[in-house]
Amino acid sequence: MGTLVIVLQVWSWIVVGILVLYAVRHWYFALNRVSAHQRPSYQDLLDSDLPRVSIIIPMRNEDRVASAIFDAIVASNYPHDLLEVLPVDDQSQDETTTIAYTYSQRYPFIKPIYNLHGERGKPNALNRALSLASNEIVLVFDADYTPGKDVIRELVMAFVDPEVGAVMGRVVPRNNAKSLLTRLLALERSGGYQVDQQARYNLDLFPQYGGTVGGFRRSVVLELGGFDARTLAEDTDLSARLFINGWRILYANHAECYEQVPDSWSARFRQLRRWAHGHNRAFVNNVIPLLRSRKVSAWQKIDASLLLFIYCIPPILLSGVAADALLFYMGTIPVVPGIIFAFLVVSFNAFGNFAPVFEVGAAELLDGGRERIYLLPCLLYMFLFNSWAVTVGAIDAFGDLLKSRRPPWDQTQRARRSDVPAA
Amino acid sequence: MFLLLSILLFALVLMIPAISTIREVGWPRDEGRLRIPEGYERDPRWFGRSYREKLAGFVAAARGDASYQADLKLRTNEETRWAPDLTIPPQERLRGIEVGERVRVGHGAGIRDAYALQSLDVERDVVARTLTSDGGMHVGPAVNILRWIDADGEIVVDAGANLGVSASGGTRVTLAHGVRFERVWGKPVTSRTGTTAPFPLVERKRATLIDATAVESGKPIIIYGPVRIASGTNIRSDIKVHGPLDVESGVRIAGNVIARGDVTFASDVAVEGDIFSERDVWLGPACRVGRHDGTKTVYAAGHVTIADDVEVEGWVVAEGGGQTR
Repeated sequence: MGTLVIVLQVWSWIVVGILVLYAVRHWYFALNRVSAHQRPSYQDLLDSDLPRVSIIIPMRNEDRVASAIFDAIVASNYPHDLLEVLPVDDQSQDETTTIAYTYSQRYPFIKPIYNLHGERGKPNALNRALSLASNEIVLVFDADYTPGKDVIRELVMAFVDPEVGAVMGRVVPRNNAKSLLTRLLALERSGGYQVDQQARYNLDLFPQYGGTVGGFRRSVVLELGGFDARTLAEDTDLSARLFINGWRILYANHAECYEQVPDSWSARFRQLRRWAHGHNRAFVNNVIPLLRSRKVSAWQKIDASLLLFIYCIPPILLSGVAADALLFYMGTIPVVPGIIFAFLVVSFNAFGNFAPVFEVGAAELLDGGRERIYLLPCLLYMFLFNSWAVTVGAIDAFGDLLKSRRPPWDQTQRARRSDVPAA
Repeated sequence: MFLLLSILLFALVLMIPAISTIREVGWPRDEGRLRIPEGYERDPRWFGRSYREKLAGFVAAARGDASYQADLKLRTNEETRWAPDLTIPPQERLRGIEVGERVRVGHGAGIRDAYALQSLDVERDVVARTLTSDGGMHVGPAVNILRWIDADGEIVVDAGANLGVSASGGTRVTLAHGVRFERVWGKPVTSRTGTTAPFPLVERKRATLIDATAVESGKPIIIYGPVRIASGTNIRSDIKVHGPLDVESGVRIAGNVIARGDVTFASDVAVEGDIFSERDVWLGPACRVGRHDGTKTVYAAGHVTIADDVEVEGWVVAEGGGQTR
């Protein structure tokens, strides 16, 4: 009994330590974004010598959204003679194939790729398109994204910097008004991009390539072995591998693009579960090479490690809560007595569990959010939901890792056609 | 019983923050999506183009009528005045929009907007919000622009003028000594300041020296720390420096120049690509950026300082303000 109490108490302290570490990180990022010098990206460069670009659009059963993204790319101000658009039809069973074909007949720079019999999934689709792409600069848009007129140019300009291996733009939910869930996801996205990504770019740490509204150098990705089809977060995995090999990821906050966020709790659960699975896999695959890399500074190693580890936090947190509950009901909760314990609980909750709330608040300040700020406490309940989904995903990941299984690909369900305005 | 009660109490405490959300959850007042200007294109002449569009109806109605006058709705109702040859007397104070084929603004006048369909001449010490011309434009000494200027033709700016947030010309934009600016667009942007002495270069400890003997592989040059490029060096690739970059006279760079510190060109340096600095840019006498058949940008997150006889084929962006000297 005594040993169990000691183990639980030690674990409780470790969990608090980890959460405080993340709290400091998130607090510092929010402060940096609100009050420090903001590092510029390259969108202000107007250059007549634009490079040729390949745009990959992985597609599976996308007939609800396919026309909108093709229309958006056609309406882009990037010269059409420098564009090559590669929609990868991943064995669609709806009208996606027909829509892609129709657009390819009207616009010769749209060249559909059909995966009729090969392995499905986004990493496979990307690898297939990479092998056929004819340009060095490659951008990726998921099919439910609609890039604005200048977004392609803004992303491409990042590659004037010879150190930039990948670029990431900002995604903004389009379907906020749909439900409370979509509104909360919009808050999360704001914190994640407007503050977290930009702060990491400002501080020369580890901005992340997010797999859509972004791009990379084709030769570099091929040299690194392409996309890992064993992971469900091929974007995080690529980010880590680029970083380890000395390439930098540029965050272009100005390159904003609308997306559809999941509008049902079940879709959100599946999405989070998939992200947690992939992210944890990327952590296992990359953390040792990252720490050994000579091309990454100490601060960058710390930040990248914390980022890769972030989907391990919810299970750790839940285990910490369970440990504390056990200690409480065993009558041994006073890890430290009295008021100090109260402070501990407060820091545990305010600075640990909900640290990203600082970033969301800062993001809304920058974005001009008004009454939506009142929704911030709802993120507390959202966090409980997220923890559950992420924990399930983490268990999946480590189960698959132990049994050397390849995870099945699960695509996020798209919004209904009525939610998708014409571009 | 104790277990149940404690769980219930915990759940109750957990619900307290929800009280503040009830109104916004039940009766949303701020549920719109964040507005992205999807149709936005980076256009250095956007102010002028947009302004002309707003005045197009007025101009069509006014042409041929020697003293046409109307109220035009821009942000507020603006009294808009037309005359083929419009002269605003010296020291005059006007709050409307002045439009003419040929517009002349007398010295010391304070006006809101002036729009010329052929030529616009602004004498010294004028204060104006905007100036627009479908032909050429002359901005006199010490003129103070509060917002922007745009001309389809050539712009000549005299000494000591302040060009506001944006100055853009369809052809050449020439800046005299002591002109202040934030963004200048021209084909090219040139300077006639009379300052011909090269900009002094700082002697930095541990600076990496690139000279004419350096092996040129054509691959981008990436260096951490301060860098100095020796006179006479030809660089055929992009160069990125994690620190300040000092370039001696007579250097040629075929690619882009990117620096996380200051970029200083002593004199007679030619860069075919873009220049991007996270701090300040100093372009000494006779420096050239870009090619006649293309568009390039000089960008500084800090200040840009331009000496005599500099030519930039495209855009000069100085987030912290720029000046000729």
